[in-house]
Amino acid sequence: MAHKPKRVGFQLDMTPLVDVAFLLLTFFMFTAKFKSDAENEQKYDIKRPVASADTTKLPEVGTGMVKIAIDPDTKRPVYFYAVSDENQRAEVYKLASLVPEDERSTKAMVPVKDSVELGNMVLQSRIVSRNRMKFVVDADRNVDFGEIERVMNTFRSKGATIFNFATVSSDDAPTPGGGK
Amino acid sequence: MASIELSSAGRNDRTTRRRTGFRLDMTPLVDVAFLLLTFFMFATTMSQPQVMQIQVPPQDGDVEVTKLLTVLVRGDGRLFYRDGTDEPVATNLSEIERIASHRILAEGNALVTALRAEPTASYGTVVAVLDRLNAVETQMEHEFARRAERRERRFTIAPIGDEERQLINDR
Repeated sequence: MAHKPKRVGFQLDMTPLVDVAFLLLTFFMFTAKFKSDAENEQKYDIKRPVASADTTKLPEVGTGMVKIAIDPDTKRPVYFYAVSDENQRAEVYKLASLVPEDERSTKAMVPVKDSVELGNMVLQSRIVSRNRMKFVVDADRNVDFGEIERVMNTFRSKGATIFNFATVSSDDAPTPGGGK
Repeated sequence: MASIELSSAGRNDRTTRRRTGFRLDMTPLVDVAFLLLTFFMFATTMSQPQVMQIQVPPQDGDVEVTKLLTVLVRGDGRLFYRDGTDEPVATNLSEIERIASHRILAEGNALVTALRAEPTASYGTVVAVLDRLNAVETQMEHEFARRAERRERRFTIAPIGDEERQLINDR
């Protein structure tokens, strides 16, 4: 008998493959972190300082963030204040003198004129949040420490004795926010 | 794609109903699922630990001069340490780690560590020093726990005085 070429047939059931694919998909869907309102509005890139020993995560709700960025054109620091909870913003942003009145309720973060205004906003934040607000200083690593000292003194004088410095664990870690 | 087949195999008695079969080709579904998966895989940034907690006392208290270790940061980023009221000594981060550990182990909870930086020093440098001191503190907590002692950290960030500024700027 002539050698008949043996036909090998493959029957592969791909159900488990698709199951695993959907599992991975749902995992990544839930762990995807989306930019907050304030990060979307942020025009300046803040390069946070490196601190490897920090083990606490940046809270996403209930924060009042003082952002200090360095304008790449003027090389001077620019101050912003961002309240994360939408319903608390109106009361606090009422004090932002640099923002026209009709725009105050639409913004996620506001420019701050000086330490006095920042102090008033910090105090108002504490009142509106019934002292539950967590204050964060999110400043570029090249900002002069004197500016940070000023913010720390403002916090201290308005009763915010516990606050946080936003840092990155290493320079390879992705930094949120961005723009210029 | 999807199709409906009429299978007429087998006997077709007058009592047997004609069976309709559905054949659904799920290739596009799986394609879209994989596309979404790769999108989310690239778009998800794993969140990193990101904050350093600071606590300041509501009042500026006076610090006793004995059993004090001061770390000074000059405007250009140069670091100094100072035992009590001795002369400031130029140093670097790893030295500070060693000296701070040594002093804390020697003096225990009575030692106050103070960090004073010139206003022109960069924030990044000050955070680097704070980070190193925090790392030392973690080691100290372990060491104290091992010795069955309670660790009470006494640390402050304070503005630099004129006298100290002169001392470190002369070097």
